[in-house]
Amino acid sequence: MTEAVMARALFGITLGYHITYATLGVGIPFLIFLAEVMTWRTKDESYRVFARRLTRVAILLVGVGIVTGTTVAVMLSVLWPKFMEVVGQIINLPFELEVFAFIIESLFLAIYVYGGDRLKPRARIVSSFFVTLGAGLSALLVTDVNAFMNTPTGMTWVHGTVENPNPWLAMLNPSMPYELGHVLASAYMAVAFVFAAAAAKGLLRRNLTSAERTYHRKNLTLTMAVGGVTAVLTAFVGDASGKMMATYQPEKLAAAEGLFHTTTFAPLVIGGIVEPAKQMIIGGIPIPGMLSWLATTQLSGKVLGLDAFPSWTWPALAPVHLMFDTMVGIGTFAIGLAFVYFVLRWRKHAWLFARWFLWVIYAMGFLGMLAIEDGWVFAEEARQPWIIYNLMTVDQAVTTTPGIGWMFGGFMALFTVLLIATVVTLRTYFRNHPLDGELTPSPKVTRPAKGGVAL
Amino acid sequence: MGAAFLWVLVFVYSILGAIDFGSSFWRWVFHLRGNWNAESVAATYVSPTWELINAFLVVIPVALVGLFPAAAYAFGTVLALPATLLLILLALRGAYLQFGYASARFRKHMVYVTGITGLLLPGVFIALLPLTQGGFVTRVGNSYAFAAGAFFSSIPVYLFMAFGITLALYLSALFLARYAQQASAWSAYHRFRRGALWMGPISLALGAVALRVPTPGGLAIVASGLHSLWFVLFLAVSLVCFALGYLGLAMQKRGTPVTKGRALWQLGFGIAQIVLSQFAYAVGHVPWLLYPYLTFANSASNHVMFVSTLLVLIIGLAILTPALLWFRSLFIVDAEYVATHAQEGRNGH
Repeated sequence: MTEAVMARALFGITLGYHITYATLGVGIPFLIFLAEVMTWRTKDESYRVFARRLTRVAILLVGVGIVTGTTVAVMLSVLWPKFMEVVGQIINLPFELEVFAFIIESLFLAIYVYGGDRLKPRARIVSSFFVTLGAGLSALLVTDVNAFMNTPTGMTWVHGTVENPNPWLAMLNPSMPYELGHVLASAYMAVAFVFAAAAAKGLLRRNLTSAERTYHRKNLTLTMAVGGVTAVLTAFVGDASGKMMATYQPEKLAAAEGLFHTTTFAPLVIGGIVEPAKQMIIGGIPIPGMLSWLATTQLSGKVLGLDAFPSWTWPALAPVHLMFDTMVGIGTFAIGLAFVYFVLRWRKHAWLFARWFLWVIYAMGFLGMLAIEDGWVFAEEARQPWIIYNLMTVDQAVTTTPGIGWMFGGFMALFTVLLIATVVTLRTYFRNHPLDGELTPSPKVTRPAKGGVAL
Repeated sequence: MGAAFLWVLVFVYSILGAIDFGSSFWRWVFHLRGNWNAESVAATYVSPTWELINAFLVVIPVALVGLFPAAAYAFGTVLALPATLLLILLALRGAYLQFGYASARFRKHMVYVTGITGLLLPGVFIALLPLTQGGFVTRVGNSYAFAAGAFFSSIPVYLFMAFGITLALYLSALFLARYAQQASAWSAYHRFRRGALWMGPISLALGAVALRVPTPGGLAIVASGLHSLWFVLFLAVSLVCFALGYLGLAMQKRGTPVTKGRALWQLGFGIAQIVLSQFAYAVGHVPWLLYPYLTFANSASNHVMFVSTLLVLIIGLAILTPALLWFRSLFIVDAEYVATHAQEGRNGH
């Protein structure tokens, strides 16, 4: 393995790990906020219990997310120093603003957690809203740097140096609205399905009390509604993002769809193995004209193929196409599942309570997170060999320091420890605080936690 | 201006960080000794603050990248290994704080992990100072190489580390003494006072030695600083502050209550001393960011980015400072909160 490959592997795994925590850290506050709103509107205490239990998860995951986020922040400079030198000259503002978004998030989280039941319902709604806002903004701002890497603007690039920089214009690059919208909507979607899965798992347990059953039912409906709506939003923004790519990053679109030749009436091929040697997709289901329609809103629209670009700038085609289709496939399945759930609920159909249906919802929880990871890997893989599209390659940006192998080993050990400890902590916590005890209120549980749950 | 701003960030973090890390170390020590009183005072302080202090830490590399990208490049290349060490310690510390609060099962692990990392981290952080003073980094063509072997076997580096660790313990003991005073926890107060009495002179002596022994081929801070009136002035006033604060600490009867004002000025002199000696150090260090390659001037970003970064960070901090102060009034200086939570900790064990 070359140093560059090792550095990519290390950074990729670190980001992949951080993305799990970050996505949950963005989505859970939103669900807490919704649960608080529902408590206020319905005066139903069971939503309050849901909010309280979510808060425990949020505190832990946000905390570990800070740790992994700090790691990513420092590792960027350490592994990709040349890249960060360019970032410092043109696209550092989002990173700076992100710090403040994060401070807002942790301040209001502290207020929400420490205030606990002493806060009035409206104060709880307001503080959880600001936690959601801070978390969302920090995700958006960091993603904005990634958007810049896809479609760099706001400067002239003269022999590897930045000239005439306009940092604000760089922030408002063409990918920005689509990529940010897609990231936020998909995070809400994935997290909603994670907690739908948790509710489904709860309903799958034997010997439930009727209070527990109602609690899980209500949560399942709430999270399925959030998941369904955001899944549709994700798809819409994703589609708009495809059109943006057709204009600004046609090479990425061509790679995602395995389109070798520039053509009108371009087909959309679902699945299949892309064979760069034969310049075709083997297997896969073609839908004639569909790609043209998606990219240009016209069946006869012209879509640029990979032949418009030198082959050394092509990413690894076979995995990129499959990752793209996996992401779209899971998203489509999520929309279908939410739709079926609400139709069943409306018709009061027996399937709604069938164990197999609950198992499908349970599986969707994992699929949603898989789609997030998969989507990010796709976004990065499909831009290869560039780190900043058309300006700087990954090999140019990587550090010259030897010994990445040692770092790799150290961080893998660290992440393993953190992952195991996170799971064990959550399990012990919920084993020691069974739902049954919280649903039947006693004066003791109204305190947030003994000695302060702490940040 | 940019350099001054960066220094301010480093100042603030060094003080907040020293208090934060030192406190978890004291907590660990008193946990081992079974002194629940002092432990719970330290624990009450540590809990609600670490995330915000960590946010401050993130501002520093972010500001460095925006203001001095060439330096960010150099440090990024050079620091690969030290930063790994630092990150792993920080990550363990942060994560175990979470685990410990979320589940009782991890509470003991948390006290150990945060205590040990709290002891080591100030040492690792301060090791960056001798690194910037030069002698361990060479420029090869367009890139930089770090002589890790020479660095980790250099005596001045270890002197700096010992200095950083004892300084953090001194400062945090002063801080916790005042914290205990607010909760009227007198036995804890005197524990921390005695801790500060021990650590103060030790760290002062180590600091003096660390700065006198120059790194090979590096910047001689004291020798060049003595030519500057400012350096001498800052150093002299700093020593006076130390002497005043220390006398105040020493002249107390064990076990007796002290007034709020007294606990406050003891801490105030301690902080003033450190800030002033940092000023002196800065005077000796300027204009070098990384001796002998990078100065503040030759690594600065383009004008537009430089100004935007400064504006964004200064405006952002200006807006959020009131919020932070409010937070502080809620959790740190609210005597009632301190008293009830320290009490709860006591009963809990």
